[in-house]
Amino acid sequence: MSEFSSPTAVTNQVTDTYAGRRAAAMPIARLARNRMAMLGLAVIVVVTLLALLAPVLPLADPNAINTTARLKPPGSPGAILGTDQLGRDILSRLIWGARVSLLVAVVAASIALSVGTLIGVLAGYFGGLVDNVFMRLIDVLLAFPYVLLAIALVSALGPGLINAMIAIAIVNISFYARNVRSAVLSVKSMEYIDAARAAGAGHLRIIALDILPNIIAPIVVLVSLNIGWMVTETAGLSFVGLGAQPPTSDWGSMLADGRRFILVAPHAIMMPGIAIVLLVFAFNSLGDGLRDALDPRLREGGR
Amino acid sequence: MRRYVTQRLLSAVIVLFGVSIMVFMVLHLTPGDPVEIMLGPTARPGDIERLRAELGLTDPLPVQYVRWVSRALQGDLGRSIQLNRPVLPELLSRFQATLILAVAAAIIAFSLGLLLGVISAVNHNRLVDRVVAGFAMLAVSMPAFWVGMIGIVVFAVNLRWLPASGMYPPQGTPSWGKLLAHLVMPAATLALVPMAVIARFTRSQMLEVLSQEFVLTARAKGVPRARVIIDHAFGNTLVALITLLGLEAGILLAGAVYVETVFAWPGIGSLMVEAILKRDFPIVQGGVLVIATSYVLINLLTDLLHAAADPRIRVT
Repeated sequence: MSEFSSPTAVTNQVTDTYAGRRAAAMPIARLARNRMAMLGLAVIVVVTLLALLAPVLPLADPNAINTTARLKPPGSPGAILGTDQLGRDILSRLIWGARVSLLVAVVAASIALSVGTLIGVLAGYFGGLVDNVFMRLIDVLLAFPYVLLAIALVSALGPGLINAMIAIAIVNISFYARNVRSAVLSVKSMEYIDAARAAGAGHLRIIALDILPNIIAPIVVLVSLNIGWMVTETAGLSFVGLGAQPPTSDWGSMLADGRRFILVAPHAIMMPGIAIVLLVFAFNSLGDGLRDALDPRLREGGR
Repeated sequence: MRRYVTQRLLSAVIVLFGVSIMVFMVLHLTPGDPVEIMLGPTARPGDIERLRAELGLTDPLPVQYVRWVSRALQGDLGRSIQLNRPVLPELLSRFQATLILAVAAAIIAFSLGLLLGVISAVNHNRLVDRVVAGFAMLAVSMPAFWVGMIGIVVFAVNLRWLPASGMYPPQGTPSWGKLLAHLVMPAATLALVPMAVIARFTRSQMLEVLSQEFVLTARAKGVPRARVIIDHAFGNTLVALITLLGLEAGILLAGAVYVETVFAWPGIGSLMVEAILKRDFPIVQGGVLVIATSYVLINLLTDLLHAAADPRIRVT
């Protein structure tokens, strides 16, 4: 028997898609009116484009060492943003570094999102023992202040960009799992879930067709609020020497390099720092805007 | 209340058990043999085998775990490879420095955060509110290690108002005044993110309370506006703020890692980073255990405080 044999399920589905489409148009309009969020989106698009186009842009070689042009100030001919302690072009290093920072943040977020969503959906949907076991595991993860957990994991895996990425992903699983679980709990009690079940739909079908589509809004908000944090965190691990190892460099390791020369050349820390703040601010503004537009319930909670 | 307390205590014990297993496993997942690292590349294979047996590393994992936990409970966390000293006293003295830093930061964060939050809520949607919101957003977007370096350039190098690093000057006798001078910049840097979080939280809580009927009733009865804001609204906000304590403690302990590194503050965070880079595993393991345990205890305390202040929690 398919679920379409039940007349109520059919009406429910029709009204759902109709209301769904109208409800989807409204948040986008609301988001478009939010100037800060749009500004954030613009910054993200520009940085992403620059990072993607780095190989074809007319940039100096980011790793070309030029000892005669060390620590040149911004505005120097041939180096708009100046050079670092080895005479490497800072603008070029920033754009190439953006590839590393963005890639790590996006990959780490995808890992944390997939594992966290899986746990959150299973715990929220099945409840009972499954919920208890998963949530106690999450409690253990949450018992570590997040940076500490990342550091402990990097210490186990060994310093390096990939390991830093894995550590940051693991640390954030709890963030997604808990929030997805509570989103699932609020959807689970809806009448259309009962209707689908009454119509004979199995667990997998209900999760895939009825639960997941309805928790996408809060998930989008979670990701956008979380990615900025991941950019900072990657930079932080690289800054203390646990992330990117030479010759790879991201914005955090650029800050670490510049730190030894802050007395003579403060621009070497200003430029990567401003880049981080700009990108993180952009993600946070967009995340805030998305949250207000899509899911007002999430207002001010979490980190 | 008693049932709630027992329940919370029990779950804290379970979490601590999980924490201990995880900390233990982290060391055993570590690539590279700690014994080979301890003895260095010139060690003979026979020596490595002997030391491994001496340290009990040839026993089955559960046996090693039980031995490690029972020693840890007696305060024996092993010896640091680099410093060749017992781990626990070293960790505790460094933890003290972190606590001084974190408490100072918490004082700054709570006083300024509460103030900004209340001002924002009272001026809802006016210019002041927007400026505070923008400032809060900027504050959470700035990495502490970068803000700290800028602070050093501006206040230590250019203006020469404050010392650039450390907890006390390298020479001379330590005093409260010197400690305070060294504390200002790291504490202010560390306070930035929690301050923004508190300001945003206070604002939304205040707005929620201010829109409730008892506030309107109070105003209708003729209670002055300032009194309604302070007594009725702010008082109710404070209870909700207790829930933030645990979160704030986490932010402070995490941020301390970076702030301590930038300002060479002799806390547990900078100790751990050094220990990882030098592969000093007993310090890392002990440090993670000490911080995680105190964090679990802070969260337990937060929940109990909250239950004591708000009866709705313990009844359900």
